Amino acid sequence: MRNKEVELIAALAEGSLEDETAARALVASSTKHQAEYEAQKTAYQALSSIPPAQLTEHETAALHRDIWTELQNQPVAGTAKPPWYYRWSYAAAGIFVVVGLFVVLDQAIPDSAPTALIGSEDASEAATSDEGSAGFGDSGTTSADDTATDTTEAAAATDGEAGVDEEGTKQFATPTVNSLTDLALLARSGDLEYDEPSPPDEAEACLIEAGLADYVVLGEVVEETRYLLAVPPDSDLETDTPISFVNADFCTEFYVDE
Amino acid sequence: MTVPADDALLLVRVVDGDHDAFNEIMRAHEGRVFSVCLRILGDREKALDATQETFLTTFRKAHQFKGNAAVGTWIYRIAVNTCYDLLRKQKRRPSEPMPEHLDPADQGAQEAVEAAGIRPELREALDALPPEFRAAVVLSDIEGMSMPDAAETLGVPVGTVKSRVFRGRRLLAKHLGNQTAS
Repeated sequence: MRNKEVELIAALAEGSLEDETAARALVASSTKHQAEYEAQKTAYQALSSIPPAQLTEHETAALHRDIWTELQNQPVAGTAKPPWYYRWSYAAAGIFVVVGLFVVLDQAIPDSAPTALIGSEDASEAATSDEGSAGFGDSGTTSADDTATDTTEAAAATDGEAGVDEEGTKQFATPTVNSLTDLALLARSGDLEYDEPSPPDEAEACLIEAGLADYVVLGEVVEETRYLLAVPPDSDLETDTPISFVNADFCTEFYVDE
Repeated sequence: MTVPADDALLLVRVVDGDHDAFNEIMRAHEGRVFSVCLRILGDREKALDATQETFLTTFRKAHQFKGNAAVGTWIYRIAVNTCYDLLRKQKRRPSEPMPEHLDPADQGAQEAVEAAGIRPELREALDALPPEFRAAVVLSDIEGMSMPDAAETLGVPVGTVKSRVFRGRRLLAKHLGNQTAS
């Protein structure tokens, strides 16, 4: 039976058609259509007869009390901790400005040019240096630059291998295995906050595409990119059950924590 | 029914730390959230837990609301996902069904339970549906949502929700028929 036919029969069962002629003719055309009509009508009538459920006053009061008790330990929604990429964006902006400035100055000023233009001799050395932190910290750069450096260092300390490369530029694009391992550890200890995958059936389709049809989705996390955390059904996270990180955009298994 | 635009303004106030605004949002939507959860979960106590969790999530994620849908739709979506989570946990750790919990101090409880009650065979048939189909028929046929609203709540295309409703009804009728036959 085609979708349009089912839709027409369902509409007839709901009583929502202005002109029922075509639908009635369709129902009369075969026993299969007749059976479909009976099923749609039986179920629709049963379901639409269910009364709306209501909370009692007592339940409402208890609900409000319990919610506010929980929320007393929560920060105000608007002052919630900003997502991790907010911190990174400040560091990235700082590094971008400073590195850009050095590149421009490096091209504009001959090697022998005086260094006073950017405030100190150290700064010039740092700009042409191949190692270290591109002159951050010990040059005569501004306090804003210092702040950027501090933020970067703090972020690098937090995220393990996601550090500074030889050119002194930050690597943002790829999440490290370490950071995913940390997420898996948090998941195992029950301390990881997941987002609901949206929409849920798309997440399930994604797992199938990733070859994990028999797995269940725990939730979604964002670590540089969106990942679905998936585990075998009925598994205990505290044990050595594998936790798969599936790239939610490409539906490929990226990492398995075992 | 609360005007969606008002809800959005209330949500902005919630983000600014206005507790009264959050109370207003809860009052406007708690009835339907509870009703949806009760019909999906089939257990009053679990539906109350799901309602609580739904509003906690709403509060925690209020700053993430982008305004792409009505606040109500967004909240019902959280509710449905919360119910899915509970069903998944239930599936992993199957337990004996709890008897209806009634607080002796709650005068209206018995009345409310009876009023919300549905025929046992219908409850059984509803419980036998896959969660996605059950949510679709609950929103469409019990809560009376339009197909586009139900689709937005479930986060699926309209065609998908139609298909789930029609298939869900077919399965439900089959289950009811089998029960009658036996």
